[in-house]
Amino acid sequence: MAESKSLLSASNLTKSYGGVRALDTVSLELHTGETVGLLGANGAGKSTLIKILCGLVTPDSGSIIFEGRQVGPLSPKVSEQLGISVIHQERHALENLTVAENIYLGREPKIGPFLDNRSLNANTQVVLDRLRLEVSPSTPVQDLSNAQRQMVEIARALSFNAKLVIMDEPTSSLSETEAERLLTIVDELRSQGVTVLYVSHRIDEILRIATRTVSLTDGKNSGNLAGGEMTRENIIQSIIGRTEAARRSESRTAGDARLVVSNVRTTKYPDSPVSFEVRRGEVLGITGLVGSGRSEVARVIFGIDRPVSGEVTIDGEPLKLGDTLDTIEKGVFLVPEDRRNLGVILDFSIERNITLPSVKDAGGPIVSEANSRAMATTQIQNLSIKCATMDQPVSSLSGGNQQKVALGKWLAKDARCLVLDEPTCGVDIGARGEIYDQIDAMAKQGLAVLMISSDTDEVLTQCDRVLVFSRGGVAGELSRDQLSKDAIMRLAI
Amino acid sequence: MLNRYRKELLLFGVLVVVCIFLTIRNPQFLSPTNLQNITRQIGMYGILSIGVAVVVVTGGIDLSVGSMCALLGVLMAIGLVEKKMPPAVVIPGILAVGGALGWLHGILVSRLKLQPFIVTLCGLLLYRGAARFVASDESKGFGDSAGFEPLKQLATGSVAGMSTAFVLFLIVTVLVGVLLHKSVLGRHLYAVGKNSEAARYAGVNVLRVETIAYVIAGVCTGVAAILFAFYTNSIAPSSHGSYYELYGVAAVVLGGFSLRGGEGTVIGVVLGVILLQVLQNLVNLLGVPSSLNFAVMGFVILIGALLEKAFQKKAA
Repeated sequence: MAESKSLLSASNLTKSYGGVRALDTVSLELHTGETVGLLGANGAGKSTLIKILCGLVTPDSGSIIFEGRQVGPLSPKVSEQLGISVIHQERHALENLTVAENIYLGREPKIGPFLDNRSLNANTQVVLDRLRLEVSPSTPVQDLSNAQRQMVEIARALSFNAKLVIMDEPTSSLSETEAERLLTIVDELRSQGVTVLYVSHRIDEILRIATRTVSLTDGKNSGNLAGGEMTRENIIQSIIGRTEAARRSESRTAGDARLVVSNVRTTKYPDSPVSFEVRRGEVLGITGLVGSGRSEVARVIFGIDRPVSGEVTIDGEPLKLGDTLDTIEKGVFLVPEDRRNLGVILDFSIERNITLPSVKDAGGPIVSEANSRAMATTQIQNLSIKCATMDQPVSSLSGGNQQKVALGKWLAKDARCLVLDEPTCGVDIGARGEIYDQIDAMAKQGLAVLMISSDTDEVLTQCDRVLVFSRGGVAGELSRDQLSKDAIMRLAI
Repeated sequence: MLNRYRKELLLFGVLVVVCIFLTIRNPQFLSPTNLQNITRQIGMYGILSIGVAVVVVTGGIDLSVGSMCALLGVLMAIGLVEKKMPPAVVIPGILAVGGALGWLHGILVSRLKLQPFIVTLCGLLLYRGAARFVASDESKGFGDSAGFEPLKQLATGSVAGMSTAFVLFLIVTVLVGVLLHKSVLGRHLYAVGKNSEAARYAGVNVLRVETIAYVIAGVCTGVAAILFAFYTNSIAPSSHGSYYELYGVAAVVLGGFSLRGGEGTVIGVVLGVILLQVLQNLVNLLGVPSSLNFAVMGFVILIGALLEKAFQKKAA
């Protein structure tokens, strides 16, 4: 590198969330004008690190030096003033405003009290020219493609005279050609002396644009690779943790196929037909990177989304796709990933949540209070839900106990197949064990259990067989003997 | 327990205070005639408000009930007086039309995902126009009501010393109370109001539940429309039932319902309706200029909302 002036030097950053260490004494050095790839598996701490740099999260300890000066507690405002800009995964552009209005939102040039549209558009044009973007400043953002919107975000960052641009999975929602265009712009930024911290799961992109890489594993630094050392193999090695979790000792015996998914093409990935089956008494894991199309398949199975094409059967009976009521009628249940908005009704009591799907099964239009309470009591004991009374709102419970309620509401019904999407995300260790015990018990009862998880340890310890998803399709299947972090990561990337 | 019915207790307290104040200032308040009169008003507005309450539980709103009262009233008068159809056909027919219009609102809101405010605002305008058109903009009525005495008793008569309308209101209250607080459908109504997506994920038939709520509101409006028509005896299509939708929404809000849905009890609406009518009575009995009628209502609802917020903060 021609220039090696230090731009940012963060050291010993530590951050815990409720006893879980998301970041553990992590250090990061960035120099002016380089493009650094930040790598790590799901939950390795990348997001936390980014949030600290842009001032959304305050670290428990550690220090940050920017352009040679120690910076105090960062806030989004301070961070922006320093020249740190983040291009988020989900873009926050306001669709009804124009490109120029978005870029200068909140600091529009004015003449007296009136908007100065001429300077607004002229200033914007300057920034757009720097990026060689061929869109007009007055185009409404809603008329732009995903990639163009992303570039508007970059233009916005440049308009702040950003010295450091952090890109969080910028290509995850872009097509191949759009992604290519974005990478060109990253090169352009480097030639203009802007430092880029590029977060991506896609090793090809990292190899193509990064000057070096920084890896995180389980919240710790797990290796930096300089330009010459950057190979696919080294990168994979640097993000796989060294520790392998203990396996479940006994293996379950799987019976015949119960849930059969044939050639399902979701609207997000219409070009990747997905087929698999879940057998009686087995726990099938589905893993892969965030955004690899796992939850989409779950939503199709449960009848929330209608697929482009494909078929799902349970014990040979076809499910009416897109009809959740029919799916539930046939004994196929989902515990969704978004627990707080979809898994439970937060303001409802524990009792009402647990009995919601089954309250009509008792027959008769009037609820038997005694029955309903008995049902809730059974599940509260069964899952050891920690609560004062069953009448307290679910919002007053811890994440783990909320998840038990989300699971418990299905246990009161006759299940044939249970789909669990990230069943232990944000759940403490104790509750985790209880949920695993429940999953095991259900498998032993002959249910087909489908467990979607980003947590590799969880997949390794709880599943009998694992499908690894990548870009909307099944990248590979791993039997119990073939399972390892290494094998999963190789298929996922 | 106390905490659960906090809003209702608060409202009850306010009601008692207002009643005591009113009795001291004008003992006429407790005279049999006044009580008979006020309970009749409570009965008619109450049935209307309870229907609105069911819709509000789902997070919706019904602004069409006033105009619908006018339309149904006009239709009933035409059917009974001009077409000389038997009451045994007309009365169920009016209830059916109320239910059908409610069903239409329900379909537009649930299946076509239109906003309840817009759907029922259009209803408000449409039914008013329809009422005036059908009646050729002339008042329709029952004259000396020869032949309709038994029906007229519904609105103006009394049973065991209580006005018939109030007795009907009690019956509707019990029915809707059982529906909201004891039935499967009731649990589903609240679930949809709290979080319709989560309810859907739990296997609640959200579209059906929403539609039923509007049908119930439509039928309640039908019952109230029949009572109002016989009470006024003459229905002026351009003004009959004006602002009734606001009385309905006001009673529901005063009764502790959240317009976001999922909250409120039948006891709450009942207290809300009673308080509103007592306030109307207060305006009359204390010689407050009747032009201030709505202003008093608005002021009390605002105070109620402020008190509720203050208590909420304390509880939290």
